Amino acid sequence: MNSLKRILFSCVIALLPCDVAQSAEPPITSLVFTPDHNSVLAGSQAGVALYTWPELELKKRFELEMLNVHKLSFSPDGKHLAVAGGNPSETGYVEIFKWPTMNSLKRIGNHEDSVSDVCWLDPSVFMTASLDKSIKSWSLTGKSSSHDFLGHSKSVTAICLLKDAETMVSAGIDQSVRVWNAGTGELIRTLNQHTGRINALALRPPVGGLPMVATSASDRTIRFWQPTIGRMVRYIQLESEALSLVWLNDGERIAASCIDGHLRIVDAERVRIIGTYPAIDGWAYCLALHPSGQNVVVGGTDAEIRQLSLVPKSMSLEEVGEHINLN
Amino acid sequence: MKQTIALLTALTCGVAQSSASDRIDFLNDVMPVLTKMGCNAGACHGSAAGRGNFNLSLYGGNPQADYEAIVREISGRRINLQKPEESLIILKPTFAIDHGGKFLMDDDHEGTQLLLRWIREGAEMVTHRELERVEFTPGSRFIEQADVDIQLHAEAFYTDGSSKDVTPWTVFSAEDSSAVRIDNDSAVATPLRGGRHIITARYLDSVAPIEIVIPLSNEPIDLAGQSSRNFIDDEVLSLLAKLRLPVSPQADESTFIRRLYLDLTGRLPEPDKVMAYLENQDQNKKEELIDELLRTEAFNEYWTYKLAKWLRMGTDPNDEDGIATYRLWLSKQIEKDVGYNEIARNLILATGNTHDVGPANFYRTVDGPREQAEFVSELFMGSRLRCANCHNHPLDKWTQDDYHGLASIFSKIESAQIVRVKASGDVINPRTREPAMARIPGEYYLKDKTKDGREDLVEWLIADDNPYFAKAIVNRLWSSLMGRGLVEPVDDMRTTNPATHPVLLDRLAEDFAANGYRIRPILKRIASSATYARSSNTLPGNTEDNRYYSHALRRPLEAEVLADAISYVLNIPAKYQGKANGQRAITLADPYTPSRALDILGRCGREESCEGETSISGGLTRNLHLLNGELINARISLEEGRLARLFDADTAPMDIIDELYLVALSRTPGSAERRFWREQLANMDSVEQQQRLLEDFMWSLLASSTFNSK
Repeated sequence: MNSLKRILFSCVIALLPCDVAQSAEPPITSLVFTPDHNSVLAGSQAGVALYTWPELELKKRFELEMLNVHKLSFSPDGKHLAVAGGNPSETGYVEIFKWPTMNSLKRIGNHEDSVSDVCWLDPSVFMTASLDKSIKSWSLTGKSSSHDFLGHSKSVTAICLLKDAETMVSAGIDQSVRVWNAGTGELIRTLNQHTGRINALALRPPVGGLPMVATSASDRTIRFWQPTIGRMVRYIQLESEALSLVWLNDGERIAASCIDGHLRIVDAERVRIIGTYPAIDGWAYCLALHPSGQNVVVGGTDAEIRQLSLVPKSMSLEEVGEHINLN
Repeated sequence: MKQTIALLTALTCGVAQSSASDRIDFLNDVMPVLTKMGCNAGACHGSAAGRGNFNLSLYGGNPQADYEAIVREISGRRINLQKPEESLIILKPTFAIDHGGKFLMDDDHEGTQLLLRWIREGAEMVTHRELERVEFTPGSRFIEQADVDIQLHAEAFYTDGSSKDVTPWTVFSAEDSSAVRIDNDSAVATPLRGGRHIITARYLDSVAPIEIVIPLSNEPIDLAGQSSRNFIDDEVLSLLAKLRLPVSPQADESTFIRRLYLDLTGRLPEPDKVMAYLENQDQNKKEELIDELLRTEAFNEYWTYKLAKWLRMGTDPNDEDGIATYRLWLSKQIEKDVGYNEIARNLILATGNTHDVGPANFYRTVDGPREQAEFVSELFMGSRLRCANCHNHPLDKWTQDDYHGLASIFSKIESAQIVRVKASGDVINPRTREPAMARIPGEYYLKDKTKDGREDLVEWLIADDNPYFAKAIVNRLWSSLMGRGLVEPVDDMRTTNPATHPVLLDRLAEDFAANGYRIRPILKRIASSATYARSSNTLPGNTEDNRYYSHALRRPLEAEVLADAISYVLNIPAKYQGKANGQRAITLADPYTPSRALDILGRCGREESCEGETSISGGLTRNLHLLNGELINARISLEEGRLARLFDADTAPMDIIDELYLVALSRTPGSAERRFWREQLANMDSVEQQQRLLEDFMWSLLASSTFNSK
C-alpha cells in the first residue's frame, strides 16, 4: 500500500476520531547492508534501526546520544560499524560499534559540527568529512593524523577514497569538488562546475580506465568526473535534485534517490535516464545497493524505507525499467 | 505532495474534530515568526548567499523553499522530530548555542513556543487558509505635535472570509529612525520631530507605508493670499499649509528668466532677451515666454540631450553611425512633439539595421535580456525591477517571475548591428531553474510562445490605465524643473516610497495623458505654476525644507550645460575632438567624446541611470577645477574672448561689469555690488591693472555658485 492510500485509509478510519496531530517520524538519512547481507541498518534522529532483509521488518532499534546521524559505514573487514553524525553546530564525531554485538567501543572525533560522511582507508583507519568545513583522518584508537584537510569554504558533505588509496575526493556546499593527497593532506585541485550545493559523491566500481566519481547537487545535475586529471567528463540534468548516489555493479549505471521521492537510474555513459520510479513519499535521502547488485533500498522522509529489485545483469539498459519492482 | 496530503488530511478529518484546524499553520504561523525575528531579512539568512549554509527567501517570498530549507535540507538537521527542543531552529535564536544573529527570543517567547509546537506536530507544511490582504493602520495620520505615541495595527484578511490581528508579527520600521522611534514589541510609533514621516509596515511579504504628518511649526500660517496659477499650486500649497511651512516669495524676474531659459533650452538668455523681458509690462509675459521657448530649436536640442541621457544613448563607443542615427531620430521626435507613448512604442518594437533605423539602437544600450528588462522597467515604469533578480523585491510587489518573465520577452531579440527577432530565446529563472515564462510584470503570463511578446508589453505599458508609465515620465520632468522628484529617486517608484504629493503626481499624469503624452504641455504646466517661479531664498521656518517646495531648490547645472554656458560668457567656442569648432556640448551625440573639461565637470557616462544630483554636480573635483583649473583661467584673457573685445572697444570698466553680470547672471549688478566694484576699480593705478581686475572679476563670476546653478 503506498503512502497516499495509507493516509486516505487512516483518514477514513479517523472519522471516529482521527488524531491528525500525530507527529511524523524523523527521516532516514543513511542506509547500509550488514556484512552478512541479511539485514539493513538505517540511521536517523531516532538512532540506528536494524531491519530484516528483504522483508524490511524492524528487528531492533539502538538509541544514540548523538542527535543527528548522517552516515553508517562498516569497516572493510566488517568488524566495526561507524555511526557518523553529531549535534548540529556543536560537535561532530563517529561512534564506533563492535559488529555484530553493537557494543559501543569508542567515540572518535572532535569536529565542531556534525560529521556528514565517513570513509575507511583500511580496517583501522578512516576519514571524516564534517559540516564544520574540515576533513580529518583517524585511527580506531582515536588518534587523528597530524594534518586536517582544509580548503572547503563551506560544509563538506561527502568524501570517497580512490582505489589507489592515495587520492581522496571531497565535495561540499561550496559547490566544489576537491581532490586531495590522502597521505599528506595536500589539495591537488578544485573543480568548480557545479552551480549548487553538492549532496552526494560516489566512486564508480573499477571498469578499467581512469577512476571516475559522480556527484549530485542542488543544481539538479549529476556530473561525472575523472578526478586524477581534473576533468568533468559529462553531466546530466534531472527533473529533481538527487540526494544520494550509488553505482550499480556494472559501473555503467548509477542510481539516484531524489527529493521528489523517486529513484532514477541513469546510463552514465550515454547520460540519459533509463527509468524513474516512485519510492518515497517525501525526500529520498539515502539509498544502498545490496552487495548482490540485484536490489537497492531507499530511505527518507517519515522514516519510510523501501526496496526495489534491479534487473538480471544480462538485460539490456532499455529493458531495465521493465524489471524494477517496488516491494 | 506532502502539502497535498496535509491539506487532504485536514479536510477529511476536520469534520470529525477541531484538532486539524488547531495545528500550527506553516504559512500563516511559522513564517511570520521568522519575519518578525529578522531571520529572513537581508542582513541575515534572507541574503542572497544566506548565512551559515542556511538560506531563506527574503522576507519569506518563497515559503516552499523556506520549508525545505528548514525541514528537509542537509538531512533535516535543523529540525529534530525526535527531540524537538534540540532542534537547531530552536537552539539558535534562543542562543542556547552560538548564533551569528545572537539572542532573538527566550524559551518562553511566543515565537519559541509556536515553533516547538509546530515541530512536535511533525513540522508539516500545513496551511489552513490563504492570505488575501493585510491592512495596516493608520494609513496616514496627521497629528499636531511630535512626541505623541501612535498605536500601529495590522489586520490580515484571508480568502475564507476570516481575519486576524497580526500586529505582534508585523515589523514596523521608520524610514528615518532619527525622526520616529518605534517599539516593535508594543507596535507604538513616536515621532520625534515635525515633518512627513514614513513607516514601512511588513507582514510576511505584504508591505505598505504608514504616513505621519506633523506641522513643522507651532505658529499658525495663512497661505490664503498665495497665488495659485494651476492645480500644481493648489496641491503644493495645501501640504505646505498642513505642515505650516511659510512660503518664499516669487523669484525676481531676472532669476525667473534665467531659470526658465536654462530649464527649457539649456542656455543662458542673451542680454537683449533679458532686457526685453524685464521691460515688458504685459501680464501674460511669462506664459508668452514659455510658449516662445517651447518653439525654439534650442528647446529641441536641449530636450533631445535630456531624453538621450534618460535613454542612456551612446554606450557603445564603437558604433558612431548607430549613435548618430539614434540621436537624429530622437531629435525629430522632439521637434515634431511626438507623444512619449509613441516614442516608447517605437523604441520597444524596433527592429532593423541600427545604422538606418534610429530606435533599433534601443536594443544596443545594454547587454542581455535581463539588463534590458531592468533598463525598460527603470526608464518606462520608474521601477527597480532589478531587485527581483535574485529574490522577490523586498519593498515592492515584483517577484522573480516578474523579473525573469520580462527578461524572457527580450530574450528573443538579437541585438547586433541588425536588430531582429529570433525564433527562440530563453532566460533561466533561478527560482525554478527552468526557462522563464514570458510575463507582463505584475500582471499575466504570455501564453503564445511563438509571438513577439514586445507587442503585448507595449500595449500594456502605454495604455491609459497603466499605473506606471505616465507617472514615471512626469516625475522625471517634474524633477528636471523643480530639482527633486515627487518620488525620489525617480527610478524607484514603489508603494513603500510614496510620493510627497501623491494627488499632484496623479493629476500631472492625467494631464500628461490628456495632452497626448506630449512633453511640451506638461513642461508648460509646471513652468507656469507659482511653485516653479518661487524664489530660492529661504525664510525663517522653511530653510530646512528640501521636498515640499516652499522655496525653489537651487540645482547645479549639468556638465554639458555648464561647459556651454562658460563658453558663451567667455565668448570662446569650445573645440571637441573630431567636431566642428563651437559645437555645443549638449549636441554631442557620443557621451564619450574625449573632453577633459566635461569629465571634470561631471558628465554622465550613461552606463547607468543619470538621475540624481550627484551625477550632475561633479563634486569636489568640479568645484576645484572651476576655481583653479584651466577651463576658466586659461581662457579669460584670450584675444578673441568677450573681455578682450570689450577692452579693444574701449568699453568703460563699469559698463563691462554691467554687461558681464547681464550675460552670466541675467541681471545688472545691485547698488552694493556696483559700489564695491567701483571702489576696487578706483584703487587701480593703471588701465592694465584695471584690466587684470576685470579678469579677476570675470573669474569670480564664473566660479560663483550662483553662476553654476539655476
